[in-house]
Amino acid sequence: MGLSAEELEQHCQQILEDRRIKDKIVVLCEGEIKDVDGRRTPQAYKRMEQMPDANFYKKCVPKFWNDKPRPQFFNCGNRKDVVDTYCKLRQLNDTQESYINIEKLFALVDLDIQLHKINNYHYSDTEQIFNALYKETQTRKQAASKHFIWVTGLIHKEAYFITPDIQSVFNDSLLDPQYENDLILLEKLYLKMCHEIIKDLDLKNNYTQVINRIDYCEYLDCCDIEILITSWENEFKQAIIAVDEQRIRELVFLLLTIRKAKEYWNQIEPASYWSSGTERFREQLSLEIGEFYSKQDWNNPDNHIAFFFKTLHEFA
Amino acid sequence: MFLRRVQVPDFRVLKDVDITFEPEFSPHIFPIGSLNGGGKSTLLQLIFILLSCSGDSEKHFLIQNMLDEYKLSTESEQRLISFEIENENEIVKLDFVVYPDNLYSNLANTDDFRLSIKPDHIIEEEYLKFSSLQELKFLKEKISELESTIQIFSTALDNIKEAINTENLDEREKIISDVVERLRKSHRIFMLNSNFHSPFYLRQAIESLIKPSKKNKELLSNNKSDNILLEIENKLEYYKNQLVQANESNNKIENCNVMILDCLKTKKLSFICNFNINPNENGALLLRINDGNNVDLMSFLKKISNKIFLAAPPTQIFLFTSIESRKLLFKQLDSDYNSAIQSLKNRLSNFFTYDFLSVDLLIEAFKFARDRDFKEKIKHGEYGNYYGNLLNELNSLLGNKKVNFDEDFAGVNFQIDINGESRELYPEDLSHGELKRLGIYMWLKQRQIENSIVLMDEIENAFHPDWQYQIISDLIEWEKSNQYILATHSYELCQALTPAHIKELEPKLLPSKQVKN
Repeated sequence: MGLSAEELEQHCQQILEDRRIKDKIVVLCEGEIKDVDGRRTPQAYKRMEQMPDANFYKKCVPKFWNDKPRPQFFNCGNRKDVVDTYCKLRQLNDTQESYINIEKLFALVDLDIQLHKINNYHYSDTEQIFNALYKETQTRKQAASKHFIWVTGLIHKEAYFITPDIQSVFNDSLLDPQYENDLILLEKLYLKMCHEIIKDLDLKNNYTQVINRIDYCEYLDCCDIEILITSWENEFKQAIIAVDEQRIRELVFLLLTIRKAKEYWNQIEPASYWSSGTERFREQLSLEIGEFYSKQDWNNPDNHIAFFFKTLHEFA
Repeated sequence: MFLRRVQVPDFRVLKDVDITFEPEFSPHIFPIGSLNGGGKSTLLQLIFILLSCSGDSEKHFLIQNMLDEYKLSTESEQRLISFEIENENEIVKLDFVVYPDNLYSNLANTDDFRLSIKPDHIIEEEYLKFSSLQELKFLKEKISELESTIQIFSTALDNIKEAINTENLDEREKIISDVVERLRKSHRIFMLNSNFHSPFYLRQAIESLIKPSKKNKELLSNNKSDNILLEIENKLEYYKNQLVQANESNNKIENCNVMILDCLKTKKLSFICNFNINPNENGALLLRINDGNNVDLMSFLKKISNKIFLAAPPTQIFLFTSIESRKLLFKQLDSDYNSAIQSLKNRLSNFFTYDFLSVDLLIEAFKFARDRDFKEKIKHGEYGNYYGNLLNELNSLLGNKKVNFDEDFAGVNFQIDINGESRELYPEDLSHGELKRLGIYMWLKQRQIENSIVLMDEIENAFHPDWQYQIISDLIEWEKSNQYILATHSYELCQALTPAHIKELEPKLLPSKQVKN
């Protein structure tokens, strides 16, 4: 269930009247809307049962972003709510005073399996935005500055939690993350994700549309799901044997563009001695991952998140 | 070293505090929030002072300042603070407890104590108190001093008598002069009649012994005590009497102390120090190390004193300064309070204040790096890179600004690069926040603060909200192995962590009207 018209209006009013956004980049993202009750104090933050999802993106803001005010992030609900909030804010800004600078307003939503239609925007749906923003596994440098509603280059935000780069975060983490009661080996996870593609009904039903995202790849046979699974697995195993890091990364990105990642992120669990709840564990691990992304080279379009912020920085 | 839990039942504004810090969390950074006046600073200072000073009697005065006029609400043991500290995979539990000084009315009424009394021990009630442990220490020092004085005066007396019996005047003069010199060197000359402090009178006294002429005798005849021989004999007698009395007191107190210490031992308690409950009454601070810990208490206290640090704004009221120093804040010359803080910092190397710019720390760090480079040259034939690396680290911290040192290391200057051009910066060109960030970095690096518990009060002051958020990443980057406990009002800072990281000193409910009445 998304926001009702009344809730959307109220949510937008809260953003427009928030003094913290004055002259700053504002990023709307997915996640449960959590209003702070009363003053914004450490005690109020502590009382939140869960960390706001936007805190991951906040943590990803590159280290290089130290000469201008950092962006302000707002959780806006699900993907539809984020897009609706963006459109509503533009509309309200035309008719009322606010602290927002509409040229500095951005939205970032998950690509997901199904496309989401957008009205009154220069791209009609999320799939179009994806195609305009990304070429193969890279962000298109030239196109980036034309986008105010961004979609992730991978299927979900959570896909960025399990990219090959993140293996080093898992290895070094004090949190001692585990997968199937053992240290995490992402290659094992990717193979499992590939084998279980067949179980994804959503993907099956939208296969024709989704496969367009990766059909540029000449060495993968995408003619149907089962063939794709075999083709991907063979290519992946060969790349591992050949220690071809570039090919491995490319294959994983292809997989994470079409295969839902949240359920696999949720299979990453704390060690047995952890006593503070799995959600607390994942929140902390996601911040460590955010810290990793904040140090990535933001000039490199391979680095989707860092490059997104570099684009925003030019508007700041 | 990791502080897992701290409990404070009742200390000043702190009531029923029980905070757990999770060692499995990442990062090891725990903000503590509360209302204004909620006790965050008090808690950090109490933790710091007890853990850093308990093992060093030279620093007990800071504990005494901290506990000054602490209210003992009961006649029995009262828990001040408890710690659970992880040290090398073992959890050490420490309970700091307080007692009224009068041991007899409390511990002595227990079976443990009564059983420990030996038949041949005479117990004098006036010594059955914790402060007699301290008194015994002073008494033993006094006895040692008296024995030494008696030894010196006895030898002097023997030598003077020998001199008087020596016919050769030159030899007699030499012996007497040597005696006087020994007395002077041992500072015992000042124990003699004040006239002997005067070189003239001393000379005359010596002359009267060396050459007992009529003239010399006349000169000294006005005051017979000026006779050095007589004076030493009298003093020797006096100090011998003093020693007898001191030994008697010592024996009495020692008997009681054996009882007290036996009793403490059965209760697994160690005496730390006394403190003032009020001008006429003492309290005693004791420490219990819990069952199951095979840890030597004193070596543990020494270890933890090197692993606990406190950083705070210089404008903070520090409860471990003396009450007289704190009162200076209400006087016109508050610089006197600042002098008191500076003096404390000199004695407490683990205590840091966010000063405008810690130039001394900067210079100290760079001199150290320079010396290490020079040592490398001697050892391996080539200069090291410590100085250059440190400079690079600092400059990367400052962004487009650069720090330089005066050639004589007397000060620093800053430059900014704008479009390839370099311009010198004045102090006003640097923000307070930039300087503070630099200061914290230098403090952690120069003091080599690693695997430690770092308590930081109001770290966010002077930081722009973006920097309040960023300081969490900075601390991780600068030294990840530490546990940081941050007293803060900053929501921004907290957002860099998870809600589970945040601890709170909750305001306590007021008692019901019935109870108030």
